[in-house]
Amino acid sequence: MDKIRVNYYDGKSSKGYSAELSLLDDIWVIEYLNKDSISEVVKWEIGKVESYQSSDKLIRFKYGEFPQQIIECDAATYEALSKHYPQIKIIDRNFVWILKKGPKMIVGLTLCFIGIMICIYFFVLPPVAELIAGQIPMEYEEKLGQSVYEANMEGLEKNDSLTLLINQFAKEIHFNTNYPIHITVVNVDQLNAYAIPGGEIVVYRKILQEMENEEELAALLAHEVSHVHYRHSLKSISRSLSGYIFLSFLFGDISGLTSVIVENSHSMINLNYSRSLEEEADKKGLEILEANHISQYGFVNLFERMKKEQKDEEYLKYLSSHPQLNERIVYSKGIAQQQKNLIENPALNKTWADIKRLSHSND
Amino acid sequence: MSDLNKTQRSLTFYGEGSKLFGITIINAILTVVTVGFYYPWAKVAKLHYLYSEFEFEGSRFEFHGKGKEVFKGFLKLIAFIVIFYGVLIGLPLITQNVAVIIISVLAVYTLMIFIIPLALHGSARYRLSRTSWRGIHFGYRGDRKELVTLFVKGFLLTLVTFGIYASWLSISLRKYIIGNIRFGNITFSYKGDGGEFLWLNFTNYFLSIITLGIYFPWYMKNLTNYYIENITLHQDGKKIKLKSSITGGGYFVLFLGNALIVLFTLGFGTAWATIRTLRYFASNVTVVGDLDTESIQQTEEDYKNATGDDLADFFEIDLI
Repeated sequence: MDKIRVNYYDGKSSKGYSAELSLLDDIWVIEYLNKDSISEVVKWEIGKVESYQSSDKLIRFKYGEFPQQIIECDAATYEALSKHYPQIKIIDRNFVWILKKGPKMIVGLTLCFIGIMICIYFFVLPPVAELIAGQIPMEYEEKLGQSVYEANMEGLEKNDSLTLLINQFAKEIHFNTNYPIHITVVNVDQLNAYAIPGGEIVVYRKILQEMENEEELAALLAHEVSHVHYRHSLKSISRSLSGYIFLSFLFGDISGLTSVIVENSHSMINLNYSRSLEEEADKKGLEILEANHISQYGFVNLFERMKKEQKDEEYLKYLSSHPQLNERIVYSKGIAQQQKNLIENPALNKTWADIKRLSHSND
Repeated sequence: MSDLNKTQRSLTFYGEGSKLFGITIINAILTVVTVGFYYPWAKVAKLHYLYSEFEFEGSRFEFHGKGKEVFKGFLKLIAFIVIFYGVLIGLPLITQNVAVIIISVLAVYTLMIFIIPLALHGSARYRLSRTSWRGIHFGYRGDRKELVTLFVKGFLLTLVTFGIYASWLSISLRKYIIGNIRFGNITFSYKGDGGEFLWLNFTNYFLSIITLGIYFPWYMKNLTNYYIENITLHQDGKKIKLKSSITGGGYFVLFLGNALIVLFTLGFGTAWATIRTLRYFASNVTVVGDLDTESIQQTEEDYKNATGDDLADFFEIDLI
């Protein structure tokens, strides 16, 4: 019978006893001198012994109900023990077996983790964020849009007569959306137009000056209304917000850097819609023109005008959120070629003529 | 034994950044893959590792918590949050009724006032009962009602005195909680004073501002030392003190180093920063006095309930 010297704690006091452990087939016998130097014998049933790695060099065996008795031994002693009792397995709460495989394993796991995170960031997060954006009640969206609109209008000069006309123009078109569409024209010498959640659309005067016919304006409005209809800005904000929340959760909020970025993401004018959202807005926009019997060449012309002026830096600013212009020209042309049933709308034509005239006055 | 002759004993921390990092990475992967449900086990694995690397008088500490226990608390916490937010934030949004909004806002704040002491109580009970050294368990004997009353009264007084009473509240909480900690038959006490604490914070805060933050590590040093050095251990009528040799310069190097490590590794170096911090603490806290490490008697009973532990984690409440 083997005898091994171990440290024994009885679970009743912190006194450690130097004990002799005798290994029998199904019990361990622990013998030690208690604090009054009287010999004590304790028996452990093998089946109830818990063992686990307490640190690199230390193995602990525990026995019984609370408060448990403890035997401590070093790793070498444990090796000897485990040969006797293959049934005793170390409870490994720290994944020591993985860590023992060395740095290669850890580097591999780290790369695996980064891989998973990248997959989540690019493939899981966007659809989830869009789903969440889709759940926001419409009234709340309109309220939010109103406050964004007011904030954006600050310092911009509104053109009341053009605003009136362009809304008359829009009334002639059935956009097939539940959102109340309201358009504002501002006197800014920039080629720009954007949609705000809830139905507000802002058009910069210069873009009206550059346009040549009512179809182009109809195309522009149909495109922007489609952004509103499909909640594209909410979806984009939800995506970028969730992205930043995800990143800040991942890396810890490093010196509030992320909060600054998150705040800036609220600025909707510089918002870049993803390519798929632009495509969706184009598709819906073309459908709107079709349903209203307005020539879909409005889109083709609008895109071609943008392309022609691409050298102009000002134009680039607006275009930066409208990538793949050539593809969009080809796509819209393909659809426009098949269009039938064009119907002239005199009211639309007249309003357009007024808009065109007014947009050049007060220059 | 020679133990009785030793009057100064310190903790040693043997943790290694690479090991903690390995545990953290495995935890992170499993937590993500299980959509967060592995979190309780992850937390237990980390605590288990960190506790086992603290050594005092040649013996390691042990954390006995189990993932399953923390998971139960975790589920309760999730249920609580869902109901709490669902009812008190969802209801006013749906009804748009001013009275409902006002009542809900009041209820949210009132509940928050109660959650903090409940979390303190629960986490102290669970965490301490799951901590042992040489088989002797720590414990917390505080009474939930007493702590809640103490906190709510203190909170109201803090409101009435425009925040000034916060100092006294903080000290009285510390006194109550530390006074109810047991390590076997060793009891603890905290001797601090609200006025002293207020003055310490006031002067150090002022100095931090006029030095554009350079003084901040010294402020933290004074604060930590005020927490540590006012703790007394009582064993069989003997008093044993905790001494800290933490210095402002030491903290300065620690904070700066940690910030650089975390920043330049994009957060992946957090494990090393944690290890540095724990090592610094362990090597600078000494037990001074006649502590008899051989005669500590087991006094605590088994305790199982982990809600508070998670709640504390959730609100980032630190217990010394």
